[in-house]
Amino acid sequence: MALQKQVGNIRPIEKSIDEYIRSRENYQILFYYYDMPSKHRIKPVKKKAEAIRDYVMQIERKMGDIDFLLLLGGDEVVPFFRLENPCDDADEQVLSDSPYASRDENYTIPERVCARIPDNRNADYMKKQLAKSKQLHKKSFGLTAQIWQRASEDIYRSIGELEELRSSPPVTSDKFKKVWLQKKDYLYFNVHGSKVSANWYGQQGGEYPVAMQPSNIENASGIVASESCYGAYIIDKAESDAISLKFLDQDEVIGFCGSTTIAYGPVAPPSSEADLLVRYFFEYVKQGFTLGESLKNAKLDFARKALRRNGFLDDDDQKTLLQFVLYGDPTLRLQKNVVRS
Amino acid sequence: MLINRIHIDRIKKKIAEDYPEFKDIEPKITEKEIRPQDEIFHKLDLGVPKQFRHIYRLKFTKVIQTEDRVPIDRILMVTLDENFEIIKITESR
Repeated sequence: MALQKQVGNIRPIEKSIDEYIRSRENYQILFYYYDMPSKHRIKPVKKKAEAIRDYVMQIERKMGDIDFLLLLGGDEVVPFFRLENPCDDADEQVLSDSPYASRDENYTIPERVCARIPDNRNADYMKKQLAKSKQLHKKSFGLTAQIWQRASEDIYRSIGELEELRSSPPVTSDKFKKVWLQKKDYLYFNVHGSKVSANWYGQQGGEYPVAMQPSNIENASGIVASESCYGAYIIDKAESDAISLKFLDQDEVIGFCGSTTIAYGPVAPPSSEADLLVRYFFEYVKQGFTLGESLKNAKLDFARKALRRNGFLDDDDQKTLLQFVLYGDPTLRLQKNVVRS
Repeated sequence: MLINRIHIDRIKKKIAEDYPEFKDIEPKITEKEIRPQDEIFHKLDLGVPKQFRHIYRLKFTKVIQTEDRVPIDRILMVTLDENFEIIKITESR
């Protein structure tokens, strides 16, 4: 079984899943191993993204529409789709969970919520994600590359006071204060990222300092959204070399929304691409929607906005819709004033 | 209609002024005809426009090195409409 190969003994995870299901009284939750016989006589499939998506569609045909789909495990357990890259850039393919969220072949527009709990090759890490909650602190933190200060301010206004938004430079990882990430609700990042580096980078002119690294994260809390290239790239990574996984390792970080590949955005307002998607995501979270619904709704609004502006989704709009993923429990929400969907 | 050198030079001048790190970079130019995206409009319950669109893209690229010597592709894309007017300018994150 794919999950067992990654984390070893899966009994503790199964126990956590049982507890998770019991605690979500408002949801009818079904749990399946795609590679094991199930009680609903759905034939097991191989560890291939297309086959697993077909498996999900079979469940839907037998059991009714799935509103929320939570994938348990990283790429080694439930592979990302490798989609053709709409943009002419260095990414050969776009790693995406969007096809799992779509009922037809047009993957840019989601029809169901889809999120993923990375395994990080550690059963305790997964168990932690299934039992998270956080207190409200009514404070936020943001970090932007200095060149994108204006663009970032446009987004940050919806979640906090502009004086909380720091820029890099002058912020660098050695001046970074861990307390900035603690007792917060929203954590926003608009910085550079790389597939081969654990760090995120600022920019001023031709200067690209290390703005932040995994070791800067300790007792962080909130919902994290990052626009950085490869911010959600987790293949062959662990919490020591992926900021996304380090954030998820925090007890009070309830989710991470980011891009698996090279992401795009404007230098200045108006928001577009990654800026616009993250902005909508935060706005829905703030309204009280679950994290999963917030990303799904953000993608729908993003597509509508692009269509109204230009009459079409261009290459980087399409890539933005495909590359942004949500890690963490999609049923969690930040606000207590619940919006029922 | 093919984009001519006058339009390219106009865009290059603007990029050199507004985004000096991409100054003196020769853009890669592509043009694309965009058919009405019926499926997307349908999924979003929007009325489908019938017209084809024609866009041009000027892609400026360079590889930079971060402070800790990590190479990063920097990409700046300028999208133009049928009249060679700028629709948007985006940068890689």
